[in-house]
Amino acid sequence: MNTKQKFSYGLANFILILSVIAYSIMWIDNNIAAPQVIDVYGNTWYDLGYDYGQKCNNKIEGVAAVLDGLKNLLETTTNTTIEEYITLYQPFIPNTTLDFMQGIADGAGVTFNEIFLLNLFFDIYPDVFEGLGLSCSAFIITEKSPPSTGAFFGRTVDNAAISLMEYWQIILRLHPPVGNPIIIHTGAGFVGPLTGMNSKGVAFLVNFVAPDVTGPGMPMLVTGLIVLLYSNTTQDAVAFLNGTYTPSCAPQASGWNYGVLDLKGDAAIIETTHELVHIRWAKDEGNGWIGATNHYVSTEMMPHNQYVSESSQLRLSTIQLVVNNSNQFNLNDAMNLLRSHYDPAFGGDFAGHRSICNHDPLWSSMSAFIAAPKLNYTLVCIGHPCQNDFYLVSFDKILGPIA
Amino acid sequence: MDIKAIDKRIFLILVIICLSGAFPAIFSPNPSIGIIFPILEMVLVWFLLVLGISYLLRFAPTHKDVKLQEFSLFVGFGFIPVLISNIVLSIITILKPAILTNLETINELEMYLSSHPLYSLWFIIPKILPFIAYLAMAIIIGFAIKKIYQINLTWAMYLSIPLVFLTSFSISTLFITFL
Repeated sequence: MNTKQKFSYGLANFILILSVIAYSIMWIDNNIAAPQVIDVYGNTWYDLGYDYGQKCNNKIEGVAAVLDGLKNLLETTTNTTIEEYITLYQPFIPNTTLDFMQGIADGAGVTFNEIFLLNLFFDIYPDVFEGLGLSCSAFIITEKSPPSTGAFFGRTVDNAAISLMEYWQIILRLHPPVGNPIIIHTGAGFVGPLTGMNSKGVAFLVNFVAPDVTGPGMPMLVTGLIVLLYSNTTQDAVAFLNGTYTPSCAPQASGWNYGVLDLKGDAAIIETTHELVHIRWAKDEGNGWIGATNHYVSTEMMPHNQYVSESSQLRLSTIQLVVNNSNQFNLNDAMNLLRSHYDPAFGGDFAGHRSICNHDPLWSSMSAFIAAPKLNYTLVCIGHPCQNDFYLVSFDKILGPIA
Repeated sequence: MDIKAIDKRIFLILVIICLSGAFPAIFSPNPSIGIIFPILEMVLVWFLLVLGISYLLRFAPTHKDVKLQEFSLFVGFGFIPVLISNIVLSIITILKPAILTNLETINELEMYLSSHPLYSLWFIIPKILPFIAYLAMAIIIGFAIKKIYQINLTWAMYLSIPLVFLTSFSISTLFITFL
């Protein structure tokens, strides 16, 4: 072997070893390290946003860059510019939240318009991707939970463009200038929760629904933030979501299934469209639990589904089957259900849109979340729930992996 | 190697490949006919690795002398670490303690974790093991390429490592997307 050959083999070996080491570090960081929980503080809403933006600037810049591409698609599909969207939706957003958005934009080094679009995108999503739904599944266990655990909820968060979105999800502990401190699981740059719990023991979740009508109103992420900041009980949250509380969240920008649970075990799924609201109280359904996927189930709201996917109905039937068959449903059972690949249409395990834990490469489960208000902690799993671990996140601790 | 001996071993290798696909699904809480998919997945990975590598190395000097059965046998040996990993993973899934059934409060969980420092191994091993198994598979296939096609080990590894990871990832993705 001559010197040139020796050099090329040496270089090749070096690159090979370096690649294996780099991949291993990235892999360990993504799969074994505990999820990063970001504490955000501020004496004003702008300061709170600035701290948030600074601490998550890499992720927010990443989301904003992709959003720039989506902006063109949005403007072409809906014939509405982002500036026009801001003019239409801004009146429904409290000034404090707009300050919060401005702080995030400045802290992360992106524009206010980008942060605004980011926080509106889920609400105008049905206008852009008509016929495309998501696959989130949620259940709130009330009377069926052990008395020592108290009522709790579990849910999976599914999203499109999973390979991108899963790196942008974050866990925040917000210490706001006004209102309750909150733990939220959300996306980088979002002002509100996809799932969360406040220090008063009110837990909140939201599932996507394709409604028949969308229009200017309060975006889902802003609604979730206000619910957690100012609600001390489920009744408070329902009053706000029902539009009977001032300031009101009505009209909503789109249709959602909101879930709320409090320390006393009062739980409800609030089905909302752009203008209508229907409350499903867990105690009225009388099963000891209540569930929601991606369609309205109440007879009042059913006609307002733009479409009802088979997968959404089947996932709800799986929850019904599993929970109804248990005498008592504990946190461990909840984790097993969130990790379930059971596909009722197939009659066995097959991890697609019809199972709770969904593995579709483009549009799948990117995390799972359990909130237990009585125990004063949340259990968070980042990534596919079946392959990743649950960590305990409370207002002052992170423990784990737990399960 | 004698052709008859190879034929017998090919059968054994097929059993290993099918078992490595079947193992996690056997212990699923909802076993069904769906068990056939991971088995097909593994057979397809094996098939593609054999054909893909022999196609890529069709210009290798020894190519004309290479018997495909012998090469597929060596590639099949690479599935032994995957089978072992899947058996161990199934055992871990069964034995892993479900602490949240008995312990609930933050203090109880904190005390349990501090008194059981090895508890996190239940979570780390199932993640590292498949990675090591596929790496071992790639290394075995790398040595097989070196032996059969008589090319330098470094280039053999350059071929086998990405091919093993890409093939296994893309086949499982295809199965989820289209079935």
